[in-house]
Amino acid sequence: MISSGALNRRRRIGKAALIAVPFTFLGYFFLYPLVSVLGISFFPDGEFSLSSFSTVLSRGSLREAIWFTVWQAVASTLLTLVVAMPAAYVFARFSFPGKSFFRAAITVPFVLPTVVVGAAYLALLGPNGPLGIDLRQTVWAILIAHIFYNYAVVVRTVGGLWAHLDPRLEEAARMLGAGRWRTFREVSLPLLRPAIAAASSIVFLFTFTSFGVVLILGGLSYSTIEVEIWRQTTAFLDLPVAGALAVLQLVGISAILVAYSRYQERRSVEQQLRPVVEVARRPRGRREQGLVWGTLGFTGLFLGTPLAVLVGQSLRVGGGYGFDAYRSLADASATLVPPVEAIGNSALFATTATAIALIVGILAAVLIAYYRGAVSRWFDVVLMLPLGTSAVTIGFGFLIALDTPIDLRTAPILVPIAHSLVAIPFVVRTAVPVMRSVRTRLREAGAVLGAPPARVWREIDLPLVFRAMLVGAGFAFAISLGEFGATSFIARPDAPTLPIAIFRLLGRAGAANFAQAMALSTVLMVMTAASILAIERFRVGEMGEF
Amino acid sequence: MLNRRPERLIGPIAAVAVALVLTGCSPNAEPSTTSPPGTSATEPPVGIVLMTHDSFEVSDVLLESFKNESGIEIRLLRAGDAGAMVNQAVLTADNPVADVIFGVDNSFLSRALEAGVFEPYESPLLDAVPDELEVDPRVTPIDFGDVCVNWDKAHLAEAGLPPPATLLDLADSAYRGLLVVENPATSSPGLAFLYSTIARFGETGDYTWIDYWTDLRDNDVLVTSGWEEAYYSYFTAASDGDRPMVVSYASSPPFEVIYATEPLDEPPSAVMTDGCFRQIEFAGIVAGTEARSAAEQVVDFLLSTPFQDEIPLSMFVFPANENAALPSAFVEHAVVPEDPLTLPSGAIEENMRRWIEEWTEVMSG
Amino acid sequence: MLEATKLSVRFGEKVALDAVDLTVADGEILAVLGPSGSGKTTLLRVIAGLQTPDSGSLSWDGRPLEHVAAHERGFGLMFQDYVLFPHKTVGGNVAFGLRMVGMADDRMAARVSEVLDWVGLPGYQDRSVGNLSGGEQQRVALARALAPDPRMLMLDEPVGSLDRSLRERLVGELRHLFVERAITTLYVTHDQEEALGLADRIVIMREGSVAQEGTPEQVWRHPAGEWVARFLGFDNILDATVADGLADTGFGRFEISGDVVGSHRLVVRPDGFKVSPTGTVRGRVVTRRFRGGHYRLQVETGGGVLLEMELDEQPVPMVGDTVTLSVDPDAVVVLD
Repeated sequence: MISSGALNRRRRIGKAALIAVPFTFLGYFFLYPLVSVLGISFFPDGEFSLSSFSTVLSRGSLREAIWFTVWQAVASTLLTLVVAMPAAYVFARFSFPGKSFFRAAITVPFVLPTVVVGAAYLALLGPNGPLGIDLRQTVWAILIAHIFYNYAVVVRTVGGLWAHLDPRLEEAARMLGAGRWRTFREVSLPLLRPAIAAASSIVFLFTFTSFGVVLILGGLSYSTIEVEIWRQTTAFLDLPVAGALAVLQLVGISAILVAYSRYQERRSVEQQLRPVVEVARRPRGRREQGLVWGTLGFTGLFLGTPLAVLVGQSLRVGGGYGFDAYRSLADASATLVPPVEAIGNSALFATTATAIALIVGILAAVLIAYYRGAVSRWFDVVLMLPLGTSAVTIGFGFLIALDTPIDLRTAPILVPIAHSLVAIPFVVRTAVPVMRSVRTRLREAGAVLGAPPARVWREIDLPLVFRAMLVGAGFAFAISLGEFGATSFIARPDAPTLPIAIFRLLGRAGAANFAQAMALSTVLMVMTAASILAIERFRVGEMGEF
Repeated sequence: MLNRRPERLIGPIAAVAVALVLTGCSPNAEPSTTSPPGTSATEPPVGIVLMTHDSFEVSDVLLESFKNESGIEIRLLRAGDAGAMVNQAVLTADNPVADVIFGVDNSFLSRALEAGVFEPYESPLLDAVPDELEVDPRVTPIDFGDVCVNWDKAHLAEAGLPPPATLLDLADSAYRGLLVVENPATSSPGLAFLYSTIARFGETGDYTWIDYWTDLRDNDVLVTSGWEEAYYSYFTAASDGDRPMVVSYASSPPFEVIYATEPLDEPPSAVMTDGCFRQIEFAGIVAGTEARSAAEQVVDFLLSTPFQDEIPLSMFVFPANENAALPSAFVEHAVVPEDPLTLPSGAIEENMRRWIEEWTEVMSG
Repeated sequence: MLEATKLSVRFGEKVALDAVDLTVADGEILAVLGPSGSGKTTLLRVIAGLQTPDSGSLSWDGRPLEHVAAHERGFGLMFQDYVLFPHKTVGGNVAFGLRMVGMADDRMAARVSEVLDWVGLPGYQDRSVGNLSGGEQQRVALARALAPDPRMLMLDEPVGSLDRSLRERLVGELRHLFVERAITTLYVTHDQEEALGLADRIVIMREGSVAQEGTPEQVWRHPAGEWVARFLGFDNILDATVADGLADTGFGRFEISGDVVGSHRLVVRPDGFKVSPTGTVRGRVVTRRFRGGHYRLQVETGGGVLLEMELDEQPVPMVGDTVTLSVDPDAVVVLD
C-alpha cells in the first residue's frame, strides 16, 4: 500500500505548477515593483541608509499623519462595528421582503470611487445638509464616510456567521435568566468573535489606507500615511521619504494581517462543529417589527442619501430637472471623447481584470485551502498586501521595474493587472472558505462510486466552488469598475475608464460638465449594483468573508 | 490514497493566463505600445508616443488628418495629472517610454529640465508665439492659462458687496468667510495661487506672503484639497455652497456659458484680474528619442493652428500661437489679465517644498 | 470473497487497527460490531481504499487490492451521515456511480428508477436532497451505493441517526433486500440489536482487535469474556465456585450446564430468572419498570449483589417485595 515514487513525483510537479502561477504573477507584478520603489528609500544615493526613515520620524507633520492614520483607523473600525451591528443581526435573524436586493444594495458603497461620493458628502455634511451642522473638514466627516464605505463588510461578515448560530443557544441563555443584553454579551458576542475579527481586520485595512475620503473631507488638518505618500511623490518627487512612509504603512498592514491569520488558524479548529441552521423568520410582535423596520430605515437613509444626492445632481437642468445629462453622454462636444466610450473601456478592463483575478485567485485559493502550512499561510498574507499598498507606489513601481525582460511599462494590460491585484484578495477570500468546507468525505463518496481524482474535482469540488468563483468574479468586476487610484498612476494608452472620465469632467467648469460627471457616476453606481446583485443570485450561504 | 489535489487543471489554466498576459488584451485597436518607439522616419506610418496628462484633449479627426498628411501616428500615453506625469518622465529619463511629452507647466519645468528629460528644439512656428512664453530652448510653449480668483456676481450683488479688485481686498474683513482656495500641497491651481501671493508680496519686507496668508487665515479662508471640491461643493455660482469667491481659472466664466445646462447670455461668475498667476504648458522632445524628425513634426503639429484652434474648448486655456482663432464665447467672456504674476522656474524648483511647508504651518496655526 | 490479513493502522501513538483478520464470503451479511473508537470505521475505510494500512494485506477473490485505488475497487460505501452531494438532485446522486462506468442515458434512467423503487422512494428523481427527511436521505444514500451493483456493499452505521422505530423497521427491510438480491454486505454498527437482527455473522471489535466472531446466536449464547458480555448488555456477572454442576454464588446456589469446576465468572442472562417458590436465590425488589412485553426488575440479593432480570409472568412482584427466584441453566454462561 505504498504510493509509488512516480506518483509522488507527479504530485510534486503538479504542486510546483500550482504554486508557480500565482507566485510568479504576484512576484513580478507586485513584489518586484514594490521592492524596486521601496529600495529607493533604503538606498537614497546608491548606498544603504536609513536617513529617509529618520526624516519621516523627525518631521512633525509626518509624525502627525502616522498617529492620525492609526487612531482614525481604530476609531472607524470600532464605530463601524457598533453602527452596523443591528443591521447584521436583522439580516441574520429575520426575513423580510426585498432582503436579497437590500443586501446587494448595501454593498454598492463599498466599491464606489471616493471621487464620486466625496461631492455628495460635502453637500450632505454642509450647513444646508439634513444634519444642519457643518461637519465638513472635521474628523467626523471622515469617520462617517468610513462607516458608509465599510457598513456592508460588517453586515455581511458578522451577519453571515450570526445566521449560522443556533438561536437556541440564545434561548438557553434567556431561560437561564440572562437578559437580552447579557445574552448578547455573554453568548452571541463570544460566538461571533471570529466574524468580528474578520470584519475588523478588513475595515481596519481599508481605513488605515484611506485616501480619497481623507483628502476630500479632511481639509487641511487631517492627513493619513497614504495621503502623505501621494503628496511626497507627486508634489515633491521625494521617493525616499514616500518609500519610507510606504514601508511603515506596509509594516502596520502586515502586522494586522499576520495577527488575523494567526487568530484564524486557531479558530478553524474550534469552529468546525458548529451546526448550520437556517433561522431567518418574519419579525413578530411590535418590538421585533420596530427593530427590523427601524434598522432597515436607518440603513436606507444612511447609505441611500448620499447616493440619492448623486442621482439628484445628475438630473439638474438649470433650476429644474431632466435627463439632459444622460442624453449628452453619448455625443461628444467639439473635441471631447464621448463619455459613453468610457463605459465600454471600463467594461473591457473589468472583464480582463476579472479573468486575471479569477485565474490567479483560484489557483492561489487552491494552494491556501489544500496545502496547509507556513508557505500557504504567508502567501495568504502577501496576497492581501496590495489592498494596503498605495496606488502611487504600485503605479510608479510598474514604471521603474517592468522594463525587463520585455518592456511592459506602458502596456495596456497593466491597467487590468493593477485592478486584479486589488481584486485577487476578494476572489481568494470568497473561495477559500468554500473550498475548505467541501468535506473530504464528499470526495471520498465520489471515489467509492468509481470517480478518479480528476473526475472527483470536476464533479464535486468544482460545482460547489463554482458559485463562490462567480461571487469572487462579481466582486472583481465591481472593484475594477470603480478603481481609480492605481489607474491614474499608470502610464497607459488613451482609453479612459469610468472613474477617470468622471474625474476629467469634474475638472472643468460649467454646470453641464458637472451634471455629466454625476450622470456618469450614476451609471457607474448602477453597473456596480448590477454586478453585486448578480453575485447575490449565486451566493452559497454566507461562506465568504465579504 | 485519494488524490484530492486538482493539479491536472493547472496546465490549461496556466496556459490561458500566460496567453492573456502576453497578448495584452488591449482595449483599443492600436498596436501595442511596448515596442521601442519610433523606428524609421521614412516608412509610414511612424508611431510617436506622446506622453501627456489626463486633462489633455484632442479630437480624433485632427489626429487622423495629421496622420494622413505626415505619415505619423500619434499614440497617446496618459500618465495621471501634470505632477504625476512629470515625475514619471523624470523616473524614466534613462529609458524613456515616450518620444514627445506635452503638459509640463512652469511649476514643474525645472524639475524635468534638471533630470535631462528633454533635448532642445526650435520650432519654426515659434515666430507666432509671444516672447514672454518662451523660457527655455529645450521646451516649446503650447498654451497658457491664468489662475485667478473668480467671484459670484449675483451673490456679491445681493450681499451689497463690490467685487474684490486686488489680492489685498481678499484679506479685508468685508469679505470675511467668503473665499475658498485649494491646498497648494495637493492642487495645481492652489499651488499657482500660492505662487502669485509669493510673487506679489515677496519673502522679505514689511508685509511678506506669510503675513498675507496669516491675514487670509484670520479672515476665515477655507482650504480644500482640490479644485473640484472648491468649485463644485463650495463656490456659490456652481453649487449649493456658501463661498462666493474661489481660486479658479480666468477661463472659467466662458465655460459656464458653453457648458450650461440651460442657455446663458452671461456667465454667473467673473474674474478678478489682479493677482493672477500665469501657467504655461510646454511640449518637449524626449532626450534620446530614435525618431527625432517625426518628434519635431509632432511638436510643430501641437503649435500649428488646427490644433491651437481646438485648445480653448478642449483644455480651457489660451493657445500660445497668436494666429489661432478664439471661439466667440472666449472672445466675449474670457479675460486675459494684463500683468499676470510669474516666478522663475528655478526659484520654484528650489523653494517649492519649503514654501508649501511654511504655508501649511501658517494655515494650521 | 474478501480476505483481510493482519491489517494494522496507527494514528500517531494510537493504534486504530491491530492485526485484524477478516473474511466476507460471497452473499454473506457480515456485521462488524463495536463501541465507538473500537476501529470498525477505520477497518471499513481501509477496505474501501480510503485509508492506507500500515501493514497487512487485503485481497478480493485472491487478487491483492494494495494497488487498486478506491474508485477502482468496485465496492459500494454508504456513509454514516450519508454525505449526499448537495449540488445534485436525488436522481443525480443515484446516477453518479452509473455515470462513472459510462452507462448509457436510457439504461441509467431505468436503473435509477429501479433502485429508487427498491428503497421505497419511487419518483424521487428530481427532488433536491436538501429537502429530504432523515429517513429519505438514508434511503437515497443506500440507493446511490446500490445503483452501480457493487461487488460488496459496505454500510457505516447506516441507521444510527434515525429514531428507534424507524431504525427497527429499516433494519428488517435492509436484511430482506440484501438476502433477496444476494448482496455481499459489510455492515458496521455499535448497536447489538441491529447486528443480531441483520447479520449472518458478527465480528465484535474492541480497541482495534477482534474480540469475538460467530453467528448472532453463538455470540448471544456464549459471549467470549466479560467485556463482550457487558457490551452485549449482560449485567449479571457473578463470581462463583462450581462443583457437580452447581454454582455457589454466596447468595444462592443454582444449576448450570456443562462440566466445569472451580472458581469462575458467570453471566446470567436477564431472561434466565423465574419467580418460583422452589427457587434457590432470594432477594428484595429494588426497582420495577414496565417495558412493554415484560417488566425489568432489579433485585438485591443477600450479598448486596444487584441482579437484572426480565419477568413477564403475572403477577410481577412489587418494589419492596421479597422474592424467591430459580435460574434456567441454559441462561448461564461460564466466561472463563
